[in-house]
Amino acid sequence: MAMRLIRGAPGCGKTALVFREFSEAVQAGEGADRKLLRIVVPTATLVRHYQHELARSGLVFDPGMVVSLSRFAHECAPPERALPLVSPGLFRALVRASLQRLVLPEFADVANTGGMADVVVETISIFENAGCTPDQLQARSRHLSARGKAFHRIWKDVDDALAARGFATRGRIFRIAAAAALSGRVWIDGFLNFSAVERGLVKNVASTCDLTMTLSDGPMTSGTAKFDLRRFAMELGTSDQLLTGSPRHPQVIAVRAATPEREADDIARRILALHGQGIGFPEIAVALRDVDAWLPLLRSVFDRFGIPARYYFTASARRHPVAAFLGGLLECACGGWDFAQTLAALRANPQWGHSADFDRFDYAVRETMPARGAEELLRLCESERCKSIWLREKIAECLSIEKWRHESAPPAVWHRRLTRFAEHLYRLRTLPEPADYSAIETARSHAAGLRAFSSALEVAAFFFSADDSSVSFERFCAAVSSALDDAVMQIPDDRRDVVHVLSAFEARQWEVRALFICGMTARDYPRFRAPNLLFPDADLERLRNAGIPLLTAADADRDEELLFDVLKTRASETLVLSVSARDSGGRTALPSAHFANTAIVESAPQCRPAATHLFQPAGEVHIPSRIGVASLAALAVRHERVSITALEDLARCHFRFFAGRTLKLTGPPDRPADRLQARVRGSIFHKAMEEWLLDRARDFVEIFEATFDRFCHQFNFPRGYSLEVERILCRRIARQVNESVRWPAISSELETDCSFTLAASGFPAGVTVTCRVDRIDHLGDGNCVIVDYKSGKVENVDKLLTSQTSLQGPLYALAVRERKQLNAVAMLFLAIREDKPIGWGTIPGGGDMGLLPMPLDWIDSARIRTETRLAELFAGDVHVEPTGPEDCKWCDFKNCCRVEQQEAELIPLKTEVAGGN
Amino acid sequence: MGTDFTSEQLSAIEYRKLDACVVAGPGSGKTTVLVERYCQLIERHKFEPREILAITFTEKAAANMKAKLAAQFRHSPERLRELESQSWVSTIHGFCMKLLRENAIAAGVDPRFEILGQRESDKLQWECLHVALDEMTERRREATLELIEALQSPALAGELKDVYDALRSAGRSIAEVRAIRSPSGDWPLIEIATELRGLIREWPLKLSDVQRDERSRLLDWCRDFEAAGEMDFGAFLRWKGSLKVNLRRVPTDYRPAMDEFRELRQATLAAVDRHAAPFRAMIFDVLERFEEEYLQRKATSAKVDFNDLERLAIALLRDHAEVRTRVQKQFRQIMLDEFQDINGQQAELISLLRSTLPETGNTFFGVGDRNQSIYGFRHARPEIFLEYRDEVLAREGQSVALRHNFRSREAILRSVRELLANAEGIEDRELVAKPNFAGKDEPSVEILKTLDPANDRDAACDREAAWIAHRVRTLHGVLQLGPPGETRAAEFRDFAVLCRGGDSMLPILAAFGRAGIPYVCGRRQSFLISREGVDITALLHVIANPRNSIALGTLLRSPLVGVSDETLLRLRAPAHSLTGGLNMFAADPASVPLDEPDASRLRRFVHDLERWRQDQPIVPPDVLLSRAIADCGIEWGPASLSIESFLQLARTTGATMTLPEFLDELESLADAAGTEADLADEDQGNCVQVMTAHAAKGLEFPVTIIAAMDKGSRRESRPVTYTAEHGLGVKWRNPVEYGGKDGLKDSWAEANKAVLRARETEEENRLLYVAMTRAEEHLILSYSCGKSRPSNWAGQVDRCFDPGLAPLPEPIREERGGYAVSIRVTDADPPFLSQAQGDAAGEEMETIATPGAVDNTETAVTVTSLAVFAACPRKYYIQRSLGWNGGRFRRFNADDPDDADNGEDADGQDLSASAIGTEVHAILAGLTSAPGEYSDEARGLADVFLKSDLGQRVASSPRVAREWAFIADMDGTMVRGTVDLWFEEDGEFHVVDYKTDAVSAASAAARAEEYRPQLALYALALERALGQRPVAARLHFLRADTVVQVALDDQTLNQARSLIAGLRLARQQLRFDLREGGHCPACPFYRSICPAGLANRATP
Ligand code: SF4
Repeated sequence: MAMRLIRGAPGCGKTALVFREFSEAVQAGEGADRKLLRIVVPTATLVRHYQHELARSGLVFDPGMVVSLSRFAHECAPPERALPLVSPGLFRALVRASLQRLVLPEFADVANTGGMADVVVETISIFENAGCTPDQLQARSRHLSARGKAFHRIWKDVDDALAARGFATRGRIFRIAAAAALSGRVWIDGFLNFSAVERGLVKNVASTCDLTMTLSDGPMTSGTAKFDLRRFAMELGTSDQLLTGSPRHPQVIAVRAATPEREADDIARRILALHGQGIGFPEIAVALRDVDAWLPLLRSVFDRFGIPARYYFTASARRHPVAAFLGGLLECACGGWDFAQTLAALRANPQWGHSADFDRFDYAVRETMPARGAEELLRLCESERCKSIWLREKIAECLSIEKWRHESAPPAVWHRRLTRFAEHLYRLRTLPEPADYSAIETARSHAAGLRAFSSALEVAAFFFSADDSSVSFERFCAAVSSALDDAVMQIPDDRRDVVHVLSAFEARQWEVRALFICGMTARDYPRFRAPNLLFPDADLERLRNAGIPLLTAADADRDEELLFDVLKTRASETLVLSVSARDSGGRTALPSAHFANTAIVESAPQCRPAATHLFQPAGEVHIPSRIGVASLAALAVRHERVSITALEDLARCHFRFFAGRTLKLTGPPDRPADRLQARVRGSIFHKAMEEWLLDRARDFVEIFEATFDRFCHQFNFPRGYSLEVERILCRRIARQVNESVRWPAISSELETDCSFTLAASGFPAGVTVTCRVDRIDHLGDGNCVIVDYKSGKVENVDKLLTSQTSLQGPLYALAVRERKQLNAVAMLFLAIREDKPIGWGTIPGGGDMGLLPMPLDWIDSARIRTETRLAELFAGDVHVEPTGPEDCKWCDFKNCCRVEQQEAELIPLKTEVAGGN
Repeated sequence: MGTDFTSEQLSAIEYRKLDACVVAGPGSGKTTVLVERYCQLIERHKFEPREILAITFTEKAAANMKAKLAAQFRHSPERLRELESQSWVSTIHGFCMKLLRENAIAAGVDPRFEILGQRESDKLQWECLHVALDEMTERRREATLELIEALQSPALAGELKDVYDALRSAGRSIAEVRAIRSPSGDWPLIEIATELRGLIREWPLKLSDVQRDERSRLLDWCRDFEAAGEMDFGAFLRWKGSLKVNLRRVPTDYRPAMDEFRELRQATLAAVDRHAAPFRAMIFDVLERFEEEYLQRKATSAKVDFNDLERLAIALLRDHAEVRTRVQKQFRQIMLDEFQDINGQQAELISLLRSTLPETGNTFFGVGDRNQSIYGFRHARPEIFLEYRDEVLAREGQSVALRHNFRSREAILRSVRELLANAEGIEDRELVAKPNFAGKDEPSVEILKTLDPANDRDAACDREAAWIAHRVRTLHGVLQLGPPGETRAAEFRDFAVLCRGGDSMLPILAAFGRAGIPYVCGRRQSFLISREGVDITALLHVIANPRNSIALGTLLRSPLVGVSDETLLRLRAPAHSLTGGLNMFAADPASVPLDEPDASRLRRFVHDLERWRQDQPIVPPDVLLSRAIADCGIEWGPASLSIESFLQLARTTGATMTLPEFLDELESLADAAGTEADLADEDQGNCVQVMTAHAAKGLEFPVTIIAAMDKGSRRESRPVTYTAEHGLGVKWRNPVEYGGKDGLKDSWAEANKAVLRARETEEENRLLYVAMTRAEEHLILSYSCGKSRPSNWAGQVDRCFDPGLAPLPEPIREERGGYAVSIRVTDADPPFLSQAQGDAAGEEMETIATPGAVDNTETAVTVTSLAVFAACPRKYYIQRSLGWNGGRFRRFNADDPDDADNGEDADGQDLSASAIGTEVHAILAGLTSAPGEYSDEARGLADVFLKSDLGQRVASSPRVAREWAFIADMDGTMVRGTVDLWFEEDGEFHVVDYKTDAVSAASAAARAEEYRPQLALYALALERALGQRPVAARLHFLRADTVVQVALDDQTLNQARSLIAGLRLARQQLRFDLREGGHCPACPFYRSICPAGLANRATP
C-alpha cells in the first residue's frame, strides 16, 4: 500500500492538510465504515481537539474516526482476540501480589514496599515498549543479572495472572494489532517518536493501509528521536513530501521573578494583558513540569485573578471525600470503629457532614474519645448532647456494614454489595442552580469521586482470581483500599473559553498563539532520569545487543533535551519563559540553560488582582467596646447572679468577663491527652478535700485515690503511662495534706454556700453574688476563720495576696459577714502542696503563721471596686483593658479580644501623656 | 571578592596532596575557595562533575555553592548541563538520599521512600514513645508504677526522644548504650566503713580531746553501720544522712580527705546505680520497644527520617563491598564544608567514602573552623575536625588557615576578639579585616543595657525590645553604609536581629509591630501568631465546626466579618450559645433583630460560611482560603506576608490533609517554638530579619543586633542525659526526702554532667562568636537585667565592657584598644517614634483588572442529553452535566438481601433491562459475538424487528447504516449522537430507532413524543451529512412491536434547533429550571438531589 511522509516546519500546515484530505474522504463517502478512515493522534486530549476542529469546519462525521494510537491499536484487534486493557490499578495490585507471593531473595527486603511495585511496573512497561514479552526475555536469560532473572519471574507471574483474568497489557494489545488484517486510509499526525511496540503497529498499517504520516521539521535535526522517525518512515518505503508554509516565529520573553508565587502572579498578569489585546483564552496555554509545585499554585492564582482555565491533570481519588467517606467507613469497619477514625469518615458525607446536628455530634464524639465500637457510637447518637433522630438513622445506616465484618463471600458479591452501599450512602444534598462555574466543578467532583470509587471496587473484584471463591470482608476491603490509593479522577470540563494548563509533555503536541513555560529551572529543563533500579544502563545495553530494542536512560535524556526544542515551536505569537530565583522552600534555584539564552529578559513586578467584592468590607481594626442602650437589659439579665470567680474575671478585664461569662465562648473539646488539666486537678483535690474534712480520721490519700478514679471515669482520661504519672504526682501532693496547720475552733462548716448581694444599677434588689466557701471555722464570739484550699504551686498562691484582681479573700469575708453574721478574723489559702497557710489576719491560738495583717477597709474597698466594675458593665462597658500582662497570658480569649491592637493604639497616647508631664 | 585570591586562599585552592585541612575563619571566603577549587578540578585537572563530591551542611549552603558554580560556568551550556545532571553538590542528607535512591534494593529501602521532615518525625516519635510507655504500663503495671515513683521527673517521653536522637546521631544502637558499664564502677557498701576506718587510722596518734571524740564517734558509726548488714537503698541514704563529719574536729592535714569522703560520692553513685538497675533496664526496654514501633511505622508509610538516611547509607556502604568500591572509585575528590559540624554517625559515613586504597585515587578536602561549631544540640562533635586537623598536620606537615576576613569592620572583629579572648572552646586566632568601608565617627559597636529595677523579667524584656525597635528606627535612613564614595543610608533590609532562642523574639516582634518596622521572621510559626494568621486560623476553625465559639467570636470581631460586641450579645441572647444564635439567624434572619450594617454583614457571612463548608472537602485549601478572604472583602497582595505565608502553607502542607488534620498541624506548628525555616539569603523585601543566632550561620548583615543576651539554655541539668562518652544517665528521686528538688544522679548522669557542662560552655561561646561575626558594619549587643549582674552572654559582655548598674543619662563613648564602643544603660522606656508602617515590599504594587464575566459555557453535548434537557433542564443538569447517577434515596440495610445480593437497581428496575437494550442494538448492528453471548430475550426482541415490515424494508434497502455515530457543529455546539439505523428507499432517507422499554402499544404514541427532539436532532445531522433531510423517523417499540412515525417537518427541526439554543443559554446563565410535573415521581432525583417535591420532605 502507499505511504506518504509529509514533512515541514511547525506551523506550515501539515495538520491542515490532514484535515482537508480527511474531510474530502468523508464527504466522498469513504467513511461508511469508520474503520476505513482514521486519523491517529498521540493523546486523548488531542483526539477531542481534532474532533472539534473538524466539526467546526462544517464536517459531520463519526467521531470514532479520530482516535489515539492506543485506542486505534485496541480497535485493530479482531473481535475474537480483543482483550480489555488492564487498568493501572489492577496491574499494580497484581505486581504487588506477585512480589509478595514469590518471596524472591533478590527483593527480600523490598518486596512489600509500594515503591518496589512501582519499579517493577515501570520496568515492565520499558520492556513492553520495546516489544518484548516474558518469553522473549526468558530466551535471553543468559544476559540477565540475578536481579534481572528475579524480575523476569515476577513479570511472568503477573502476565499469567492477567491472562487468567482475561486482560491484556498495552504491549499485548499492540502486538495483536501489529498482526491484524487492516485496510482503509490512515493519517498519523502529531507524533514525535514511536516506541518499538508502536512501530510494529505502524509497520502493519503502512503495509496494509493507505498511510499518511506527518513529521515536524524544526530546530531539532540530527541525532534525535525525530531523525529516527524519519529514517523509520523511509525504511517503510514512504514517499517524502515537504511542506514549505511559513514557520512560526514567536516573540520570546524571559521573565525572572523572586519566588514561584510572584512568577505565577506575573503569568496571570500577562495572560490578562494578552486577553485584553484580543487573544482569546483558548489560544493561550501554560506548560508546566513540576506538577506538584506548579499545579496548585497556578490553580490558586488563576482563581484569584479570575482566569478561566482547564487543567489537563488527574487528581488522586484518595483525597476525595468519596474515598474519605466510603473508603473510610470500610476501614473503620475492619478496624472496629475507632471513634476518631469514624468521625473523620462520617464528616466527609456531603449531605449531612456539615449540618449543625453533625457539628454537635462531632463535639460529643470528641468528648468521648478514645473509644471504639459501632454500638457505642450509636448510643452516643441517642444521648442528650446530640439528639437528632434523622442523624442517628443516617449514622446507623453507615454502621450497618458492621454485620459484614465477619462474613466471607465471592468477590463479585462484595463488589455488588459495596456498589450498592456506595450508591445508597454517598449522596448530595439538594442541589440548587449553580451560582458560578466553581459550583458546577464542586458538584461534578462528587460524581467523579464516585466513579473513581466504583473503579476501585472493580479493581478489587478483578484482583481476586477464580480460585478465590470466598473472600473475607477484610481482605476485600484491603484490596479496595489499595486500589483507592492508586485511583485517579478527573473532573470533566467542556468549556471552550479557557486557558489550557498542561504538562510540558502534553503541550508538545499543541499549537497556540501564546505559550507560557513556567518553572524553567535547571532541575526541570532538562530533567535527568535516574537509572532503572533493576536494569542499570549496562544491563540494558547488553539486552539491546541481544536484540531487545530497549531505551536506556541516555535515550530518555536525549528525549528530555528535545522537549524544550519542541515546546518552543508551539506558540505562534508569544512565548513566555519564566523562572524564579528561589523555590517554594526558599532555596536558590538555578535557571535552565535554555532560559539563560533568551534575549529579552524582564522581571516580574508585584501585582494583585483588583477587588471584586460588591459590599463594604469591615475595614481595618475594629474594636467595639460598648453595648448600646437597647441591649443593656439583655446584658443585665444574663448576670442577675454572678460568681466570685466571674467577678475576678471582670476585675481583670471587662472583655474577658464579656467573652467568658456573657457570651460564654468556648473552644473545642480538649484532646483526650489534654483533659487532665490544672483546673480538673484542682477539682479533684477539692472534691477529695470536701470528703476528708467531713471525717479527718480517714486517710486523705485513700480518699484522693478514689476521687481521682471517679474523675478518670467521668472525663474518660486515656489510660496509660501519662495518667499514672499524673496520679502519682498528685498523690505526692496528697501525701502532704495533713493537719499540721491547726488552731482551736469550736466547729467547722464545709463547702458552704454564702450568696450575698451587691448593689448594681438596674437591679433594685442588687446582683446576687454566689460563692461556696471551702471551710469556715467558728471561733466563738461571732468570729471565724475562712479557709480556701489551693492545690496549685505555692508561688502562685502567694501571688494572690498582692493581686489587685484576686477577690476571693475579701468577698468571702463579705459573704460570711452578710450571710452568717460572722467576723472573719483571718482568711487564708491553704496551699496543700506544702501545707502552707497564706493569707491575712490573726488566728487566736494559731501561733505565728506568717499571715499578713488584715487590711483596714479590706472588705469595703473590694466591694466598692466590684460594684464599680459591675456598674461599668451594666452601663455597657465591655472594652478590652487587662489589668496586667500576666492576666492575658493564660486568658482563653487573647486571640478574640485583639488586645495587641489596643496596645498599639494606646502606646502613642501614653507616650504623649508622659511627654506632657 | 572577585578573583584576587590571597596567598592563603590560593594555597587552599591548589592544594594537591592526599588530604587537605583548611581552617576557615568567618567571612574568609571559603565558599569562593571551594567553588574555585571545584572549577579548577574540572577545567584544569579534567575531573568530571560526577567525580567530585561536595558536601555542605545546609541546603542553603548547597544551593549557594551550586549557584556560584553555575555563575562560573555560565558561558558553557554543556558544563551547566553536566552540573545539573551529574554533579554531587549537596547536603550530607541530599547525598545519602541520592545514594539510597540509586541503590534502594541493595539498601533494603522502599525505592520511592519519602523524607519525614523534622517535625513530622518528632510527632511520630512522640506517638511511638507513648505507645511504648502505655504498653509497659499495661503489661507491667506494678513495675511501671515503681519506676514512676523512682524517677525524679517521670514524664519520660520528651527526655527519651532526645536521648534517642542523640544516640542515633552518635551512630550507637540502644543495645550498645545499654551495655555501657557504670563509670564509677561497683562499690560494695560495706567498704564504706573499711574506707572510713582506713582514713581514721592515718590520723596522728596525738589528738586533741575533741578530735579523739570525733574519732570515736566515727568509729562507732562504722561499727553500727557494719552491724546493720545488708541494707536497702533507703536505709543507706538514712545511714548516709547520719554520718555527720565535723571537719573542725578533724586534724588539719586530714580534712581534705575527710571532706572528700563526707559526701560518700562514689558509694552513693554505686548505691543509686544498684537501686536504679531494674528501672534502668525498663527504660531501655521502653526505648527498644519505641524503636521497633517507630521503624515499623516508617516502613509502612515508606518514610525515612534524616537520621535513617545516614544510617542506611552507612549500612549500604559497609555491608555491600561492591557498592562501596564503586562509590569510592567514583569520587576522586571529596570536599567537606563546615567539617566542625559533623557528628559521629556522619563521620563514619565520610570514612566509608574515603577510600584507603591508593588505586581509587580518592582525596579529601575538609574545611572547618572549630570556633564556628554551634550544632552541639544536633550532636555535632567538633573534636572530630580537630582530630582530622591533627592527623593531616602529622602526615602532611601543614594545614591552611584563612585568616582574612572580607566581611566586617575592624572594630567589630576587635570586639569579638576582646570579648571572647581566652573563652573556653574558642581558639584565639587573629582575624584580619580586609574590607574597605567608609570612615565614620560613631562607634561601630554598641552596648545596650536595659534595666528593670523592679526585677520584673517580662517588663525588662519588653523594655529592651522597645529600645531595639527604637535603635532600628533611629539608625534607619541615617547610618551610612558601604565603601568610601559609594555610601548609602541603611534600609530595613540591612538589619538583622539575632536571638539566642525563639521565645526571646516574641517581644521584639511585638515591638516592631508597634513601631511600624517591617520584619520577616525565620520562625515558621511567626505568621501564624500574627494578627492575620490568628484570624485566618479562626476562620478555618469555624469552617471545620462553628461550635468552636471562641474561634467564631474571634472571626466575627475580626475585619473578616467585623460586627460589634453588641451584635454578638444579641446573637447570643436568644440561644444557648453564640453558634446557636448564628444558626438561628441563618435559618431566619428576622428571628434575631440586628442593626445595620451588622445585619447585612452577618447575612453575607452565614451565606458564605455555608458555601465554604460545602466546598471545603473538594476545593483545595489554599483556593478555598483565598476565596474566603476575598469574599470577606480583604484585598491582599505580595506585601501581605502573613496571608501569603498562610496560603503557601495551605497549598503545600495542607493540600494532603483534611481540614481537622490541617488545624492540628497549625497548632503543632505554632507550638514548635524552636523550629526555624532557613531564611533565604536574598530578597526578603525591605524588612528587618529576625532569627535565632543558629539560623544566622552562613549569613551576613550590615547591621547586626544580638538581642536578649541575658537568655541562655542549660541542658546538662536535665533529668535524663546522654553523651556518647558515658551513655544514658538518669536522675532518680530521693526516696527518703520527699520533695527533694535535685534528685540523685546515677553514675552515668554524674559523668554526663561534667561532659555536658564543658561542652555547653564552649558552644555558647562559639555561638556568640558566630553571631558577632555576622555583622559587617555595625554591631549592637543588647540585654536586660534586674538588680543583679546578668548571666549568659550578657554576663560576658557585662564583665568585658563593664557598663555598670546605674542608668546613664546619655550613651557614653568608650575607647578600647584601637576601637570605640558606645554604651547605653537605661531604665526608662524609649521615646515613641510614631512613624508610619514601613512598606515591607518597598516596591510598587500593580493592580490588575480581572476579566469580570467570563464565558464558562460548555460546548459539547450528546443527543440523549439534549433530550433530557428538553424533558427537564434540572434533570439534565444533575444527570448529564454533573454526571450524577445516584438514584432516589432508599434506606440502606446491610441485612436486606435485596441490597446485599440481588441485581436490582435503585429504581427497582431490573438491572439487566439496559443490558438487554445494548444486546439488542448489538445484534441489530450486526456485531458478531461468541455463541451464547447474547441472551435469548435479546435475540427474540431483535427478531421482532427483523421480521417486522420495517425490518423487511431495511433488508431490501440499497443503502443502510447501522449504529451511525456522528459529531456535528450545530450553531456552535458540538452535538454527538448515534442513530440506530437509517436507510435509503426510493432515493429518500428514513431514520429508525429501536426501543426496548416496557411500553404498551397503547402508550407508544405518547412515549414517542418524548423521543421527538432526539429524532429531530438525528435528522439535522443526517441532513448535513447526506445533503438531504430524511423524510421520516420511526420508533419501533419492540416489546409491543409497535412502530410510531415522527414527522420531520420544519417545525420539528426548528424545535430541535431552539433546543440547542436553549441549552446554550441555560449553560451561559447557569439556569437549569425545574420542570415539575407528573413525571417527577418517576425521576430518580425526585425528592433527593432535586428540590422538586421538597416541601413534602423532611431534610436535614
Ligand atoms: S487576653 Fe487580656 S485583654 Fe484579652 S480578654 Fe483576656 S484579659 Fe482581656
